[in-house]
Amino acid sequence: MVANKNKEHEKIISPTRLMIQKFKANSLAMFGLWTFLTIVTIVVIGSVYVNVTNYDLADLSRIGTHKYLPPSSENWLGTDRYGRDQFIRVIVGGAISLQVAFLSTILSVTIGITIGAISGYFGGKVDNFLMRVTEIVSSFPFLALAFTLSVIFSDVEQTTKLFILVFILGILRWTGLARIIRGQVLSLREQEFITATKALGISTKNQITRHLIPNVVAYVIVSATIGFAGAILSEAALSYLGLSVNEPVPTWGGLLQRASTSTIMRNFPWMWVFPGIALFALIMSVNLIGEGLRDAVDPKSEIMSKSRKGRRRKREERDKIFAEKELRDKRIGEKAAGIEVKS
Amino acid sequence: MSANNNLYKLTFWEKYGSIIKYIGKRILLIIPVLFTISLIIFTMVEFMPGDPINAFLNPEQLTGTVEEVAAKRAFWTEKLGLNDPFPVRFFRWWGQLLRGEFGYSIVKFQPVRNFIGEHIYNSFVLNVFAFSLAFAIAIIVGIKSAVKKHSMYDNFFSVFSIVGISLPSFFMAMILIFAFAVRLQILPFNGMQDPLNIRPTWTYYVLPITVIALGSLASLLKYVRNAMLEVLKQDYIRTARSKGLAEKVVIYKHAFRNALIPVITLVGFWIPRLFGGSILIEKIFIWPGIGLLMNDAYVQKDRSVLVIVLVFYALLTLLGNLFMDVGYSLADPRIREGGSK
Amino acid sequence: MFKKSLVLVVVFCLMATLALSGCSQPAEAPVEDNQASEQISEGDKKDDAPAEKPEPKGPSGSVVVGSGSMNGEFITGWGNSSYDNNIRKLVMAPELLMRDPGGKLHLAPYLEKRDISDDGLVHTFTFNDKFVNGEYKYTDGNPMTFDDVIFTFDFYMSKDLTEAGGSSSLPEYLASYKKIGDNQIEFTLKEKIYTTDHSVFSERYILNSKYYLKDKPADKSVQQHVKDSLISKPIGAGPYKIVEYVENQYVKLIINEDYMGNYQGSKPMIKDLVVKITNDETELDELLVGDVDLIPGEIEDTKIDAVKADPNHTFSNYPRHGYGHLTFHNDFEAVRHREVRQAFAYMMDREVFRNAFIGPYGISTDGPYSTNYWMIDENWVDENLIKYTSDKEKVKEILESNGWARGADGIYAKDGEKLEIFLAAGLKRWVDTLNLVLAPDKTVEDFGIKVNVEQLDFSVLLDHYYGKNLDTSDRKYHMFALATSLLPAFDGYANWHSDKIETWGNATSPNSARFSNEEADEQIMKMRSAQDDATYQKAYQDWLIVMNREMPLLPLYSNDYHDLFDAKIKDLNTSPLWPWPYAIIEAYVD
Repeated sequence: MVANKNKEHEKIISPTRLMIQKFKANSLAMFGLWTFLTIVTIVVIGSVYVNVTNYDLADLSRIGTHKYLPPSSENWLGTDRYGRDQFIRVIVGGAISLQVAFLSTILSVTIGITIGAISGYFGGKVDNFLMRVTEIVSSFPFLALAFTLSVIFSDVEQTTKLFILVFILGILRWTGLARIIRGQVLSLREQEFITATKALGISTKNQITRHLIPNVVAYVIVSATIGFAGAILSEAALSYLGLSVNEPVPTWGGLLQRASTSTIMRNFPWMWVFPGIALFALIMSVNLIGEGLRDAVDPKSEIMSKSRKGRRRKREERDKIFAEKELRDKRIGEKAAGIEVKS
Repeated sequence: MSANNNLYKLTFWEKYGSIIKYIGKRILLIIPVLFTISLIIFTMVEFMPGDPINAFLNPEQLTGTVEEVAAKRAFWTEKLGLNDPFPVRFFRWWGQLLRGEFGYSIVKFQPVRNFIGEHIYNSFVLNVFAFSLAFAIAIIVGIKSAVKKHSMYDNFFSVFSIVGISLPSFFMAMILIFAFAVRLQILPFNGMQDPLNIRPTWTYYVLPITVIALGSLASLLKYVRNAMLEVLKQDYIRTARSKGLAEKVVIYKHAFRNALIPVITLVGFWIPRLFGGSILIEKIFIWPGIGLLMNDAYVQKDRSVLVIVLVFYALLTLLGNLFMDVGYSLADPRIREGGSK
Repeated sequence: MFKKSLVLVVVFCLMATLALSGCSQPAEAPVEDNQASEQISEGDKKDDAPAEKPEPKGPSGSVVVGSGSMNGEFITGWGNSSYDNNIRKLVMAPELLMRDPGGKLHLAPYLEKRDISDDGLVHTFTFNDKFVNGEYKYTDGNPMTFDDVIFTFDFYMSKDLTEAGGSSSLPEYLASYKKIGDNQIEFTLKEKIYTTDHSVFSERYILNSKYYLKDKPADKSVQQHVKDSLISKPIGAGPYKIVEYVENQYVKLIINEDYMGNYQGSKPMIKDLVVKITNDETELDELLVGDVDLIPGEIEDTKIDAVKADPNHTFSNYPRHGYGHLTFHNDFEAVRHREVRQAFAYMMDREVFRNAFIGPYGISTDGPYSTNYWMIDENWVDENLIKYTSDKEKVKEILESNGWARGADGIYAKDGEKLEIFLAAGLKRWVDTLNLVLAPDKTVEDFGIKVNVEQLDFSVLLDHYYGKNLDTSDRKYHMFALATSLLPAFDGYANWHSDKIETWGNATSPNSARFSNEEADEQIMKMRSAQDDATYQKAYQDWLIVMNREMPLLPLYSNDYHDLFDAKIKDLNTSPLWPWPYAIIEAYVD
């Protein structure tokens, strides 16, 4: 049965389908995907509820009676030092962490694609200039920017502060992606179909958007996943240094930072265990998805089989299937690398 | 070697000429980039809001007589050259830098040169151990993982390594401190050595090293594993196997040797952290490295320290990139040729 | 399939490790204080020390004290970190007048007597024979001499100090000094001020001139030399001497066997003393585990409660001599009106603030005072001062009787001025708590006052607070969140007299609240010139009544400091005026 299925793939060979197929077959990655979706769903439902009920995050009315209560049927995850419900804070914190990570990833991916594509497509002086800029940005110390911008914009409102945070997290992280895209574009540019589009008189813009970018979309997705996990961790790091948002706005990083003292760890475990698990599960799932995607994108990797029986045989078969494609990819890769170093 | 042998043996220049030219070119390229970065950093630090003198003159010290406070301010304004226009300060700073002077710390009342070396050394010692550990584990585990692809062993470590990067490092550190210092009480909380000489000094290294190693293991392991997989597919491995060599010999002597080259280039990736340390880890473990120095400089607005540390970070990153590129070009001469043309 | 379960196993293992560490033992909210302070004056001691007091033989044992980050400036004159100051107290040679636990000053052991002229301006100190014979020694073996005393005052009087980046308030008070006869030094003061003894003779540690001059390069002033080379390695004649200072790590001290004794001649009994830098996150567990033996000045309720619950540890607590507060800029926009300041004081729920900020260990005062001062006590405060508590009706009454009316947006306004107050805070913890307590939607709705809490970098905050280095157009903040420590003896001239207000934007204003009130000025001058305690006390009380009514500064909390320590340390009796570097001399290790 399974062997037959594989035979069919031999004929199809559409890269996207192949990718999906590979990803689906990777149970670790699928596990990550489901975990991720579950977390997102809980967080979205929770924050919708919080918004609809107009929940007051700055509610101090229970400070006298509800300080640091352990989990109970009333407060599922206990309460914090201000007597507020920890469950709500974890949910809202998740929503904000996810938004910040999402927006900053979009920012960095957009910049990365744009710079990489322009650089790779036009080459020459434009390329040279943009690659210099990329090099400068990539060796720029992240914390210098974070420290300075936090000082300059410390007196803005919390909402604005979230956007500053997005900016800080997104503005320096595009360089790796830009380099990859540039390399890809450079190598694709030499391939026949681009020459063909040129010959057909299709405009430059169309060439980039219609033909080049879809070819590099796989790399973008992988890089975005990694960037997403990185953004959440960096927000936590900034929280630890006191450079993130203040009360009453929660983030997972902020919740962890406020619980990271040995006294709280010992006496009020619910303060750190729950946000810790949530953050851990999220990053873990994103990393698993990222790994899965990377394998799926990688032409050299193979579809993982769900049964352990006969794996070696199948592997050998697949080796054959990919042999040709691999050879081509390798050639492209080398070319890309060669040009990359020239810069 | 005599000239006759030229046909068979390359002279030094022929063999290494292109790589030397390539390295030279890359170093030349670093200079303008570093200059630009330093300009940006210098500008950012200079224009950080807040009076640099207020920041370190304790409020209580400013409540002397008006003349006294004025004199004190004048002294530091003069000493730090804050009266001069920005370009003058920038170029003077570069001039000092080239003479090996890194400015004057207004918090420690000392030239930065006096203490920065020690901080770099402290970070370096810690990170060398941590990375060696991570590297050793990655190689041992990575090879076995590649050989036993998709086995229980392989899967366990690929998941385990992801666990190491799925928590913020400060939180990971707190959990370890909590487990080993608070609960088990076998390791110290923080610091570099025991003032009363009761605990051996190495115990102070265990936790920070573990946190750093856990954080770097994932990417290393993945890299070693993939490099090994790549090599294991090569024809010469098949040949070696078909010759009937023992599997161990094939793997360690033939395969691993070849896989090592790309792995070593990864060192370039570490250079910034090797010398630059990590703010979070050094802060939580009170480890007086370059990261802690930078954190204090930021909190106390010690601008000359801040500038020099940030530029140092940038330089390390640039050197790391250089190292990696050179490594790649050594491993694959085609890159170099592409580069020198 | 098995991979999935593998993930679960790994996750489970991790969580199990985490959970292993969490066995709950609930206490209450943690907080940290932002400004270390010097504590002064008497407080109730609640000590679990045993009644029996075995006399230990010879110095023994070791104590590790947790400390905040030190800068390594162990000689007075430059930095002003209180952590550095602790080391100075332990190491430097005794000053002319030494403090006792009640804050009274006593002659140092090497003095015989002090004569004060009738006008109070000339103080003549007579040194005892042992001093004249050079029998008091520094820890490097040099004898203490008259040259050292003169050198010390020269050191702080000289312009060279300012040129070396240091400062001293000594020139403000002292006119001249000279040695007379064989055994006397005569000091002449510029004017007689009630607090002279504290500002001129206390904590002016005698410097070991031979040591500081020994390797001095010819082209440097001694002050410059000390700052460049010796600031971390003082050699004095205090109860301890420095063995090793490791930057960012610890200071290791050992007992000075030749110590001359404190105000009552006590000598230390603990042999080794380590002052170790700890961090907030773990300091309490370092104490409980035994890595640290003493954490002074703790304010977080979670930590204090944990120690109270532990049989092996004990504590000593005393009220802080100082307060965290919101200072108004009393000459700026709407808050220049007394009724606005009062309304704010009636709006802010300080009990909730205190609870959120520090928990149960603290109180809130109703003016810039500390009940640690001998001039006042609880009864006097209850009888004479207005108590400000959160009260909607009161806010309404005060504002409306002064012509303020709510506008369309629900905010009070009068003559084009709106009660929209900008409050600047520096530290994250302040901002967090103020954001919660003064959440804008609530204050507007309930009280008609809008408060915008803004976080500023600390140095920027100080620029605004002192009014220095800014354009007038940048002026924005009406209030500032800060903490202040009071001095042992109160002299309100520098910080509260209207003479000390500088134009905003140009110069640092020592009167940082920018408060000007003739009545208050008058009382301050009365206090300064007081010749006896009763006059001084009366003036202080009258001044407080004015301050309480005018509300130039709203105190939010005064902590109840807890020094937490291992029960092996006996007789460590700290108090606001008797912090651990003094108290440790009388303590011993079991």
